[in-house]
Amino acid sequence: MEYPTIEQLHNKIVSGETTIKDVVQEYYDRAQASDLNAFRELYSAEDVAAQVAVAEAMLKNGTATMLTGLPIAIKDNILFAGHVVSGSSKMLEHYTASYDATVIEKLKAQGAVIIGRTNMDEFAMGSSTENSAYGVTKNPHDTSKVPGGSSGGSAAAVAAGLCVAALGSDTGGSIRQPAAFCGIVGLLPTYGTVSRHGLMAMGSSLDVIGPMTHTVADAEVFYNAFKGEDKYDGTSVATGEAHSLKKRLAIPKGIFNGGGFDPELEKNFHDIVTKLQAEGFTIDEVELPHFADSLAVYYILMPAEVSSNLARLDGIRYGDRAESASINDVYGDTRGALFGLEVRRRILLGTYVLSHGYYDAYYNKAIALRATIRKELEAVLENYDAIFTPTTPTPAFSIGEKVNDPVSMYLSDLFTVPANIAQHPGLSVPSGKSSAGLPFGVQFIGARSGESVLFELGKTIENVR
Amino acid sequence: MNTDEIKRLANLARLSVPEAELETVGKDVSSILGFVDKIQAVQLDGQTQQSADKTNVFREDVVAPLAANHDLIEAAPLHQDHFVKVPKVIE
Repeated sequence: MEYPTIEQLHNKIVSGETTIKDVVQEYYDRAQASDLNAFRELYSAEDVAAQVAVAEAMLKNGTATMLTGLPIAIKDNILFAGHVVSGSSKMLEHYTASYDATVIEKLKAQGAVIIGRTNMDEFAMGSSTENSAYGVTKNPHDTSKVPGGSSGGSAAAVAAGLCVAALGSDTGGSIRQPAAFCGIVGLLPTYGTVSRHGLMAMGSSLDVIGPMTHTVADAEVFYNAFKGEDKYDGTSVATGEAHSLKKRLAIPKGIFNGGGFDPELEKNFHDIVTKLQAEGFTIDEVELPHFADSLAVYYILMPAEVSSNLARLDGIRYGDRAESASINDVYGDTRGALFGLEVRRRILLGTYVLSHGYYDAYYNKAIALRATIRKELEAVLENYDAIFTPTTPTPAFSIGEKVNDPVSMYLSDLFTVPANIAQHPGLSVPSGKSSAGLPFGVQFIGARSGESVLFELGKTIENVR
Repeated sequence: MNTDEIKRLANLARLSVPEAELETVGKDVSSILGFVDKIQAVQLDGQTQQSADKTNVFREDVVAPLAANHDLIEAAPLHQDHFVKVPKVIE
């Protein structure tokens, strides 16, 4: 099923061919009827109607933007004042946001209509939404498969036409991997170009909010609507100078040697390479000796940051609380009872790598390797537009297939993690489907602030696939 | 990783782990550590810069409305008379 683009809907609204109310109602009705478990909560009809009224007023007084009146979904870890935001955890089941995230403020100012919050792995830790405390989301292409994660609810909602676009967050692949699994476009923006103010922190040096959409052009419009430097996020940066397209792509040498690839997916990638070459692209295999070490670096730095960031969820300040006698038992019992297994595993792992006697061997070594990986990527990207890979080694896997084997679950992020480690942007674009109808995706990792080049490359894929 | 080590980490992390789970969690953490241990073999030149573009970030401290004081207190699971309630900390 094909759904209209942001531009098509905007033009129809402006020309009077349709109304904001009708557009929102159509998506809202589909979302309400859906049994994918993509939404944690669809906001009330009154809530949505009030947002529609704001958008209609903007249209009337000539201040409408491309997003005015379009139904948008947000991941369940982005604060929307007055609304419950749970991180899809039992810990924050009843937590109501007391302020708006910067991205929400920007979307509101443009008259976007936020219709609901989407399911995710608990506090964004996972690759399948199976770690949500509220059940797995189903992949719209095959409901026995996962939608990917952690932004799996957002991916499924866009793919099934339950919203025009959705916000996700990406710490190690959490936008791009579910985008690939659900056959949509997902962008990890350059670290810092989108404010993290009001995003529930997971790995602060890795987290980025980004767009999940039907097309590359939609991703571009949506990203431009919420990017920008923010005084409330000290790591935020202004978007840098635009780069120009060289028509040169680099494939990390040896990525297909490790095995573990779905044969049809591997063939799809090679077919795309051939098609791009026919379009005049130069595509080389290049040495990136530490590219594949990114995943190990990630599973040291990320849990370390998780163990620090989640320390504030202690039963005192937010959410729910265990009724224990001593303060230490309140902390321990609240956290033990209300965090899911994967979150507890990562907190323990992070505590270990940061503890006395292990800090140098793990954390400091990982920090040093991170700098090396970034230098390697930057050197390659001086001569190439992007590093080009499949987004994932396989299409969507079955629900339950990897729950008992964390390391095999982590391997689905093998190609997405390097961009987060280097704080570079990455774009996943649908590139075809398997014989069973499951989507494949390809990924471009670009230079810092190289989003415009990634969008050009993505549009090329849309034309040749 | 044995159950005593997991207990020590759980205490450091203020995270109760039920007895029945100690062994499986220990196995999971060990298998992840086994996976990340390969970085020990990598030889490096010792760079340690964390962030790509920025070092220190300063700005003027300006008072601005963010959230209502009342809402922040209300977010705490136990509160009374505009205070967050906690168990007795000092004997």
